[in-house]
Amino acid sequence: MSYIYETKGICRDFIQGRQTIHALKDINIKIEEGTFTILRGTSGSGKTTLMNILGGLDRPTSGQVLFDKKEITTISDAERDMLRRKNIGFVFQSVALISVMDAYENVEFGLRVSGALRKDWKQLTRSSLIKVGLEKRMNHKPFQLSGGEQQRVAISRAIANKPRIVFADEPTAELDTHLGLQIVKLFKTLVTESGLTIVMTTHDPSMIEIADHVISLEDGEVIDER
Amino acid sequence: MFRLVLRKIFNNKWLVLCLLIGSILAVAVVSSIPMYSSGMLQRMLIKDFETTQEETNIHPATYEFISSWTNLNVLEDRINLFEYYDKKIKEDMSKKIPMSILTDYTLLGTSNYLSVDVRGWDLYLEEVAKELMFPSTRLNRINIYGMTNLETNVKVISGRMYNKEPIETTNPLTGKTEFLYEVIVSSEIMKRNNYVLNGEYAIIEAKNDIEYIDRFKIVGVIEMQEDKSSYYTFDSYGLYMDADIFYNNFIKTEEYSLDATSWYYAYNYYELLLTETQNILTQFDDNGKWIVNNYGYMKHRMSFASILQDYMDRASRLSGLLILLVIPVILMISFYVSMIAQLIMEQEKNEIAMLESRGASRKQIFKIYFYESLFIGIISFIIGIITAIFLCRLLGASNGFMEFVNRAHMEINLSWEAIFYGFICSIFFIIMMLFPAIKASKFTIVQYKQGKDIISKKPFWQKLYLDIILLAVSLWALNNYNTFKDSIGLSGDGQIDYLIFFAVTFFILGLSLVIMRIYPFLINLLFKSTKRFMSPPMYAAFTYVGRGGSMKQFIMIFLILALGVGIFNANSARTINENLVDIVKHQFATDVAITLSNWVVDENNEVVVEEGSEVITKNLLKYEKIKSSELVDTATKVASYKALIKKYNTYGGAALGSTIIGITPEDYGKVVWTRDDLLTVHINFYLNLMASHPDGVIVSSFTANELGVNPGDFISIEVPDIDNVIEAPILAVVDNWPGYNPYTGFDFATNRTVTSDDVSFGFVVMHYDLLLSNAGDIDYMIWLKKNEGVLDSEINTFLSGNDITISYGKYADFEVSEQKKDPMVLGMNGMLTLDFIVTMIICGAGFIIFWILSIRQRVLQFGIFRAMGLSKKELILIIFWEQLLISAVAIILGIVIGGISSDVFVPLFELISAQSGRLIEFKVFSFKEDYYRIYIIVAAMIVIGISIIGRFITHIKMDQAVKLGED
Repeated sequence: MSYIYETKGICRDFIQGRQTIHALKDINIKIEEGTFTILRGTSGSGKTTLMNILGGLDRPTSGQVLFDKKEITTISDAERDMLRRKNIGFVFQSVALISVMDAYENVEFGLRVSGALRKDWKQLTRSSLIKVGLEKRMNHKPFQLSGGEQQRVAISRAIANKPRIVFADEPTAELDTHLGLQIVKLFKTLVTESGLTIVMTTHDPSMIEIADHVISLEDGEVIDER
Repeated sequence: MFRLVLRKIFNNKWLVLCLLIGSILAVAVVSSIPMYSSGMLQRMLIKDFETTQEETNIHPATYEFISSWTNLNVLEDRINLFEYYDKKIKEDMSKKIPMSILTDYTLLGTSNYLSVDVRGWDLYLEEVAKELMFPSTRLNRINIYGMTNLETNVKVISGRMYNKEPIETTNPLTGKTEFLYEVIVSSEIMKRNNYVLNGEYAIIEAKNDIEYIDRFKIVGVIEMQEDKSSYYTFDSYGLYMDADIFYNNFIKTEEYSLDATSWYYAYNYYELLLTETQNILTQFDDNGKWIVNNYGYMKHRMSFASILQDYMDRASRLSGLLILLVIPVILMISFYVSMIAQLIMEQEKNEIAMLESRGASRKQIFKIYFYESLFIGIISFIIGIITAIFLCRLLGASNGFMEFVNRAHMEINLSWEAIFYGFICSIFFIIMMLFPAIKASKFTIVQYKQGKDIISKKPFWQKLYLDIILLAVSLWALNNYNTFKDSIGLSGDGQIDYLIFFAVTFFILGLSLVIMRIYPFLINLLFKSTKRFMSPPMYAAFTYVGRGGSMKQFIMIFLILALGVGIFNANSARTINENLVDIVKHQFATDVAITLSNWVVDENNEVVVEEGSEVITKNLLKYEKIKSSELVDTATKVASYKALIKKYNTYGGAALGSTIIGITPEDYGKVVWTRDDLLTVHINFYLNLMASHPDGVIVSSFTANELGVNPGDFISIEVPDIDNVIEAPILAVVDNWPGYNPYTGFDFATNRTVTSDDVSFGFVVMHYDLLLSNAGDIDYMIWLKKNEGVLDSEINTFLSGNDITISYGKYADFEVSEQKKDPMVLGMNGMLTLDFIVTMIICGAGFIIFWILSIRQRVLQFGIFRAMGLSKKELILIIFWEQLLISAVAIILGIVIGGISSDVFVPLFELISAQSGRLIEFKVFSFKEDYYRIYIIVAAMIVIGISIIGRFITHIKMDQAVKLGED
């Protein structure tokens, strides 16, 4: 088995006034490449914090994160930026598209940032939009798209440069159940067809069935894993 | 409700602060106008009073009532009416003037009497009895006066002051015991009437019979106390006795007839407030009406009524000018305020939507904003008025544009007018702040959810073609002005179409709006053609800037407007000041021009006029002395005469009266002041021509046209007092010459005049030696150029120190400084300085607040950028490109548009500053210093802005930024 991620005793404390909040307490998890993992837990359970640390957006107070067996918590900002560009895609809860750019440009902008070759932009953008089923609406501005469509553009942007892993933080929270399920199914398809690794947080139990791997968090601790 | 409003204000404290700064400054600037103009005129008014007093030694603030009773035949009526008037004047009319009384007097006078030395009385009676036509005994005419306050205002130079009580003594004439009245007189009458001190004199009335009336004893000789001489005077040819005795014993008893009375009041004009002028004038009118309605036996005269009227007119003219100057700034600030108000609204869209969803009606939401605006309006009104007082102090110390001096403190009074101005201004700004709220109150939660990031639709001004309209109106007004200028021929005091001053603002605003219409297209064009090669930061910045968004356009328009107005202000001030100086310098043509006098004070201290060749030599020596003085750079002799000019060899042809000027070209070139654009080629060209052809003359185009002559033709010049007729070829024809005024001719002291045809204003310039060789002796002026930094007073000290007396002197620098003291000029400079400073403050504040908010609003987006892998450096690069495309472009456009609008509209100021027509071309000036100031301010603004933004960005915590987006 090859693990794309492995964490060793991650702790994350936030200092709020005089209080120290232990958001994560000694997290030891492994994520297998090419799987669909769900981080499950109620709001405040620490799942978003964990995801941010895995994605290199935040650093743990203590502990190690191994990406491809390489420690990433101690590397420089520039190296982390590079890591995110090449290997990691993000999808956020609120639709995080750039409002002044249309769907196509949003995806293409992601490619520009990731440093994909200029000659590949067009093809990669199109194929990733096709993958999320939005090839017909790619010249629409975000506000002209529905919530579900917007989220699919965001997914398309996250996968366009063929990262190895995509983190999705509550991507279905603002969508109704039906649309949410569609998104999750899309993730599953991407995993099975493109061999992508996806980690998604949710508090919605109905999604769990589709996942390969479910990690349940509560009060900053892993309480269940299957 | 109020708690809600206060909480709202607190949540947006920085924005509200910016809003406050803007509206406080606006209120302050507007309400400082009446305070400043009256403050300045106040200072001028007092100064004018002082100068008048110094020059004439007559107190300029007096109020006099004069009654002549001779038309009333019954003495009792005179006395009754006098008492009636006296009471009214003393208790009412004189007190209504809001100044303290320095001194006053009531003067009661009788008709003329004869006086005779008591010792000669018998002789006189004898002579009269003999019916001698001319008695040898000396009789003198004399007026007898009772004058109040005499004791305190005069000094006794010999003898003593009269006693308050008459003394009873035996009259040597009648042998009875009678009153002997003590009187004091001036030395003039002592001399004229041959009075002696302590002499006793009888007053006689010679009507039908010679009647002896009273005895007086001259106990003292008086003169005015020097320090009081300006506001207290007395008739030197009168006998003065104690006013009470005079009234009770002489007038009331009807022994003497009361012929004339005057009441005199001298006020302390230092207490005169310009704000009281209307009041004083009304009181004066009321007093006049009272007099008419009360028998009319009195006239009143207020020495300063016309001055007050004049100052009231000046104050309103000055306020008018200042209001015009402030219009662009107010417009700019209102732009700023509505920008900030809109930003606040953007920040609160959330909240509005939430309130709406909870059932708040639009009216309620509007109410919240109304209270908030009202709150801000009231605060800015109060603080603004206070700030205005400080601004006035600042203005009071301004001497030229952006020049401050340590000047005497200026009296600033908070007037109702100022409060009114401030009030109107606050109301205006409350409305300005409410505009976005009207829009926002139509906002719903649905729209909020759907359209948080909606790219704004076309701005209203684009839909209404406001840009085109504004531009068209301004150009129409400009065109109107130009026709207007031509039609009045710049005679000076034409009525100015005030629309023109709005036009500048319209022009700047219109032009910037037009550019804002085009600019996104340009950006998008550039974007489309180069996007393939753009780095991600550039790409992000170009899409951000190019794709609409009214706020971005707003900040650009705002910056353009602010800088455009700032530059326009600076250039206006410079242009008016420089042209003012240039006109004076052109009129004077040199630093100092003097004519040596032939007067000498001889041993007996008498002035004699010297004549003959000795004087010529003497004056030449003086001239050499002046020329070699360390204070003087160069000096030259300039002769100017009025002469008759004819075309050579024509008999009976037209003869034209012109001024001839005799110059020595080499020195004249060094001494004369000319502006480059005065002549088509530099004056040195003509001077060189004359130097190499000393027999030729340079003729004005006017003269040449009238006589129909051209270069190469000969003219004959006939100077009265010079026997020879000078015949000379024309070297060149010119339109203008230093010192020349096409409306009045030369202003030099021309030595002699020509009478036949003096109305035409041509000139002939010739070599000094040519004139001299034909005349033998000519009068000349000495023109001199001072060395750098030499004051006119130093020149004068030098002249008097070397016993050089002058009969005529003209000092350009002095005149310039006088002109600069003109309230219109001072006011304009002060106001434009204030405008400039305020504009720059607002510009800086607007810039920084806009950028901080625009970045803060996009924290989520920056977080996403970071998550996507953009480095911090790249984020800063995005900001850099945005700044470049928005701020830098706007700043450059602002500076360019400011320059264009200066070139187009600054010449309008010719109309307000035109004195006596156009002497020289009104040239637009701009000073590098002002541009440097603007560059420095802009640079500081950008540095501060970027450092704040930079700090902000580097401190963005990606994870938190991303979370911020979550509701």
